Amino acid sequence: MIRIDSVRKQFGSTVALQDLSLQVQAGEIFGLLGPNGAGKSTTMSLLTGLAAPDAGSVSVLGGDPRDAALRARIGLAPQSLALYAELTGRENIAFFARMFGLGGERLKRRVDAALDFVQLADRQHDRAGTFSGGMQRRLNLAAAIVHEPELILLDEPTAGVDPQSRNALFDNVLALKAAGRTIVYTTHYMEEVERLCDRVAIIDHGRVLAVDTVPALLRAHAPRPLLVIEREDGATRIETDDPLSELNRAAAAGPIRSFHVEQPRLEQVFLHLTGRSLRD
Amino acid sequence: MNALFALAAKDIRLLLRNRAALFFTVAWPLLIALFFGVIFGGGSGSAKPKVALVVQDQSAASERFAQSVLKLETLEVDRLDAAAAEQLVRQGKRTAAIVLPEGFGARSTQAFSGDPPEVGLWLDPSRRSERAMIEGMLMKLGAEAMFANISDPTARQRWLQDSRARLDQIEPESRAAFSDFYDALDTMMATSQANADSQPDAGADADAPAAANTFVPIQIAEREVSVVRRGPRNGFAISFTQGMSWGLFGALMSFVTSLVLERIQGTWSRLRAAPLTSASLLLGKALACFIVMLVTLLLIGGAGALLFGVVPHSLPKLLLAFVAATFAFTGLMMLLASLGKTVQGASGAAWAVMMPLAMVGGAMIPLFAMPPWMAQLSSVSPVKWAVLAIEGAIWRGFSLAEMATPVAILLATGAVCGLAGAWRITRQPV
Repeated sequence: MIRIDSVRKQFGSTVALQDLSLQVQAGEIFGLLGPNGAGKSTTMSLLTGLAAPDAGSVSVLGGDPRDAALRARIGLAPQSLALYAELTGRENIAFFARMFGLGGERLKRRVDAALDFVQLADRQHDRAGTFSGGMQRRLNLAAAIVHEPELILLDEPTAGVDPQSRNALFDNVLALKAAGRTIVYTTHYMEEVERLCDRVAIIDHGRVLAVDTVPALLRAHAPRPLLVIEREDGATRIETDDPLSELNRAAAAGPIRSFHVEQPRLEQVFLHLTGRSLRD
Repeated sequence: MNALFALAAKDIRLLLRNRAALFFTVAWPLLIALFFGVIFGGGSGSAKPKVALVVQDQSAASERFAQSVLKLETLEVDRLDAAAAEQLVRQGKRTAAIVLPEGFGARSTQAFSGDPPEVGLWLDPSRRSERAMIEGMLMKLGAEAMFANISDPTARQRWLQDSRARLDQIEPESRAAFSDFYDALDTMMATSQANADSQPDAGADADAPAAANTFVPIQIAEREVSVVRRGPRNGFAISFTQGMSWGLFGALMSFVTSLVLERIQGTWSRLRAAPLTSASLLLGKALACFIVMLVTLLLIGGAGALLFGVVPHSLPKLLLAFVAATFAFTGLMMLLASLGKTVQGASGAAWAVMMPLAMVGGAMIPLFAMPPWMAQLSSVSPVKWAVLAIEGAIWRGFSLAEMATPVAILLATGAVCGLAGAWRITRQPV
């Protein structure tokens, strides 16, 4: 579905991507994790044909995304709310549908379907500028899928969204996967990757540091689970692959006031690989 | 093509929903035109057509008709000799000349027989709307003069006597009917007069030209007078051209802002990700800008023509000037939109460029009022060529050859600026 080979992209003196390689399989939700400036947006630009690599190659759906006909099979929900505040929800979606060549009865049917999909049919005649942040994010998604693309690129789709709208968006993304779409998903939120993504690439400084499923990344890069035991004289923290055996040994050594096990998280993988927090 | 029109329709819809942008595109230029029109003396009188009156007939009937023309509230009439009247019409300083030729008085007694009295109308053939109005006025006055003949017993007797004497000029089969009609009219008017004398208030409203529908009271003989040189008909002819320049600025600023906003909001990225070329996207934006500017010019021009007498010397040439000016400003819009990465930056750059161009281009100081050094400097401003082309079509009386220079410069400006702007925009990172 997507193949990026040894891509380099530079803006002036700033190297945005260097020797970046990725492959995304059809039908999967592929997460792109990285701090600000890591190269996520540049990667998205390459995938939508908005930018060309200085070196290396990008193949999307078997072709060059700079080919206009191929772009008709890609849907993009940019990180910024790419909507016209003075147009109604329906006018926005219909306009973008026309940009992708839809017209007539199919346009009407697809606009209805897209608005239904993101549960905004009841607000379709209100101006987008009057929508809440969460509703605007859902409308942003509707504009990306109205032309039924095979590949959907979601750039920080839940930024600034309330928990209710976030859950609705998660349901939308999973429904799109169930419908056979391929999704590339960039986010700052670990829980979103853990919940949604089949595979994830961790990128920093324009390079891919690791690519795999979340459990595999945890196994490969996260520290072992941490057993924390509280006694009268203080707490003890023990890294172990077998917390139960360690707990039995600790109980034999003296009275325990409380204990808990801290499971490794993706954040720790990220810290381990990049040496900095995801939000840096 | 469908996407192109959808792009343009979207931008026009966005503009129509932006009250501030709409105000500065249409209402503000009109206010400018009104304000400066009054300052330039356009408001000293009214929008009434100025008409010369030439009386070549020495009869009392001619004098009565002349007085009724002079009293018309819908025309601004002054009495002149034939040569002066023709010269003023030729110079465009009078819309028309109304001429009462010799024999007018004698023929005014011939209502149903012989030729009706003739009134000459000398006018510029391009002034069709005023011609219809003036002809209507003259017909009304003719009918009223006819009715005056019937109402006055002495005049009626003389008129009936003349009419009966000319019965032989009427078709034979109608003579008896007309003879009976004259008798009946005489009896009826005498009776009405007797009643009116006994009831002084009655018949006070009986001055309607009742006979107007039954005959032609006067015959209008038109003579076309081609205008050889024309100055602005009034102050509004200057100020409305300036208003049109401001309308172009308003639309230009709106579209500069909207293009930059597209990039900031991310809609430009989304559009660039659509299966459209960058050229199509920019063409859609340019088409919307072109349509808005053209409609703005038509609205301001229409208001000037309908309400303030700013009637173009040549409508086709005015449309040519509008298209050329709109093309130039659309190209400028593209170039200026490429100069800033933020709304503030782009609009600041646009104002910084456009204000000096407007100042020296005739949008503030009329071209003819500029000192020589400024007039020379103004040639670098596309505003000057837009103003000149529009003025050429409205009141300068430009020939096609004279229109060619400003129109060609405007088209070249639009093409060069448009291509340069498009080149810059397509190379900016999304």
